[in-house]
Amino acid sequence: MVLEISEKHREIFKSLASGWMRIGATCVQLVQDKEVLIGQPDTVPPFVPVLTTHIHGSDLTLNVYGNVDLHWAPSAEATLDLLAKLMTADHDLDSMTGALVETQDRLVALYELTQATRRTLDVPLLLDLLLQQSKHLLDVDGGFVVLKEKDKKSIIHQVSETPLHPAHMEAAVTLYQRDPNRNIFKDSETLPSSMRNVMMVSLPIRDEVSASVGLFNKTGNFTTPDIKLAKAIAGHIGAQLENAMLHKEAVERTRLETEMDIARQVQTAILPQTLPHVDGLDIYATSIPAFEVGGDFFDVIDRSKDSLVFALGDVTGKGMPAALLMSMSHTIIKAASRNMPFTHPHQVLDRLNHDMATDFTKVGMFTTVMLGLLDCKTGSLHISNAGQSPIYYLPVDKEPVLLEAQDIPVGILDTYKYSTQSIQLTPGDIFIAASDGFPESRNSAGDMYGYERMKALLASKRGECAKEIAESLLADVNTFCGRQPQEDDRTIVIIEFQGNSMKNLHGAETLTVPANFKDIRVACDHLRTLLARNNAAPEDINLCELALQELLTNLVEHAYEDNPSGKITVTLTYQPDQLHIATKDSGTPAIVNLSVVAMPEPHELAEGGYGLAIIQSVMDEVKHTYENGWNHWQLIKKLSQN
Amino acid sequence: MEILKSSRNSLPVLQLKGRFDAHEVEPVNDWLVEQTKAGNTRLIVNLEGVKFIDSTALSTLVRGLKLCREQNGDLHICSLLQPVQVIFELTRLDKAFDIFPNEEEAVKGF
Repeated sequence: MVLEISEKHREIFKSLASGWMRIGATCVQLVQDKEVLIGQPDTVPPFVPVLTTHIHGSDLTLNVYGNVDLHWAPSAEATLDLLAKLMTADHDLDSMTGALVETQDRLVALYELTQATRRTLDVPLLLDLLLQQSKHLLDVDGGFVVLKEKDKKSIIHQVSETPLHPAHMEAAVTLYQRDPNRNIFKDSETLPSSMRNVMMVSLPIRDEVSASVGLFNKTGNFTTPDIKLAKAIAGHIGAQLENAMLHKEAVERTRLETEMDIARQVQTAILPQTLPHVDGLDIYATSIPAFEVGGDFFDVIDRSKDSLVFALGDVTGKGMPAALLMSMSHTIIKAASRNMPFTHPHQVLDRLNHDMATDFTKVGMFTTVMLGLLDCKTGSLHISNAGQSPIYYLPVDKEPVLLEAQDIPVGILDTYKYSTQSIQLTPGDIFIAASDGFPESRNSAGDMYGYERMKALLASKRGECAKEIAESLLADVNTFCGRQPQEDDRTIVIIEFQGNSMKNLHGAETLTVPANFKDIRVACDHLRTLLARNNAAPEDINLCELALQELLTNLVEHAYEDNPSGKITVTLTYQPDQLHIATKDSGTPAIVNLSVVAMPEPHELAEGGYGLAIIQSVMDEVKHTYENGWNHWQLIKKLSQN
Repeated sequence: MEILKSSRNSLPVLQLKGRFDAHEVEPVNDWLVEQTKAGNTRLIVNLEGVKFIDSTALSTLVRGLKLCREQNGDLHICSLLQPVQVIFELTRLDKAFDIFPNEEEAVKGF
């Protein structure tokens, strides 16, 4: 500590020295480390002092020259002690004043920083303010902030007259992260060459963001108060920065949500609100969008009296671009289906792909799509499948088949030629096109619903109407997923081919079935579908089906015993309060006396004779007539009201 | 209809699944005849997976029951779904057969 000599010190020294003069001294000097701080008189005498006094633990010396008795030595010690205490006290006072002024400066600066940052939510501006203030207050060449978010590239912000290379800043952050309790680094061996010294503090933002502030190249050394100040600034700006980042995210989220809303509206608007009614077909289609729209679309278009076009597709990606491409694809398919004279669905896909490939490529998207063309009378079905899955074919009497896509999605290769595959539907066959949102749904354990589960469910629902099948599937997937949110759209188109049935003017449905045990099931399925569609009670549905089965079995066994190519015409008339079943066959005239029909006694263990008894006990009216070579049966069942 | 042949406590069991009607009776009849011919006269038919049964199918089971009883055996029916139970009651064949809630009970019933 180099003591400064003030005017006040000189005055005091002068009066002390004059005391020594009076007892014979010629010169008195205060010396620090061989240098004379004050002398009285100023000139140094050319001989050695009479008394020389040290203070223990200090570099101060008092020299007294002249004719002074040695017994004054303790007085000299006291004089020196007094001077030393006075000067140290003054020095301390000066330092404290200096520190006070500096602290006040810093407080004012912090206050100004608070005022400046309070009004801004701009992240780069906040970082700039943080670094400018720190640079100014701590007297450094520059500063930087490195923000690291998990799985993202670091963001670096720098304020400096001599900018650092980003790698140097990252190196400083690495040093700090390795030893987070240390703030000051000045080891030239570990620091990048561009930094003499650096002080690192962390910027408290959110847990998932690690942010470090570095202040480098201070003239002199960093001190503990510097660390405290830097931490105070960082703490303040950190809170403000967090607000700014949250605000930015909220704005971004709102923008995305708005976009999602629009996309959802586009999707909902283009999906058909009603489905066509076609004789001989039971059609059902629906789409349950996920929270973030997945880009599924479908359509069922009644092209003319005899042909039906249906499509189901899934545009990759989400949000507005997907919604727009979906809308364009859907429009092209719809227009082509209505107006283009095509015979095979691949012609429509070729056209769609040709028209849209460039647009899809531009945004790096594509669409899967399945297009079907069905002859409603003959059951001849042509399908072209550009990557859509799953597509199931449920033949009436065989295991369901998963039809693999033969072609690549639309929008990948504009010169690609699509193909058509053909299936001949027989009455009772069901064709199902769905989006991958069904099989790829996951439960909370991460297991997928899967193609096999979907196939098994569809197989178990065969014989039910299209709507019931779709609803059972949706319910089953929901049950499987539990509380797990739906991640992708679930879209399904179901077409049941009923064959040569037709509705007459009175709302009755007529179909003709070959007289064998296998084909009469089609009529039973038909009855079940009709009643289910009209929400009849399950018990009524079961009993009516049983009665029809018994009646038709009887006709196969007895009326057409010798004629396997015989035909039975079944007419079903549904009214809200009753079902009317009428059959007509040209087989052997039935000779029955309905009034004596009774259920066999159980103990007899009869191996037959139950059929007519069942019909009688189940139905409310049973009537048989024979006219002009035709057997007519009429059965009526009163339906319970739901 | 799916047909699964198995055994429980060395008693032959026939498990059926689907629509059990006139079109499906043949393989069931064959099994009943085969088993009784082989001297297995204590048989179990599990109808757990059957949602619909018609009188031809019931007649086939009655024939099987008779084949068993003729040789001092029995045919036990088990695991009826409600719609099938209704049809058994309608024909009163629930009085002819010994019907059990499950396969285990059907075995114990012998």
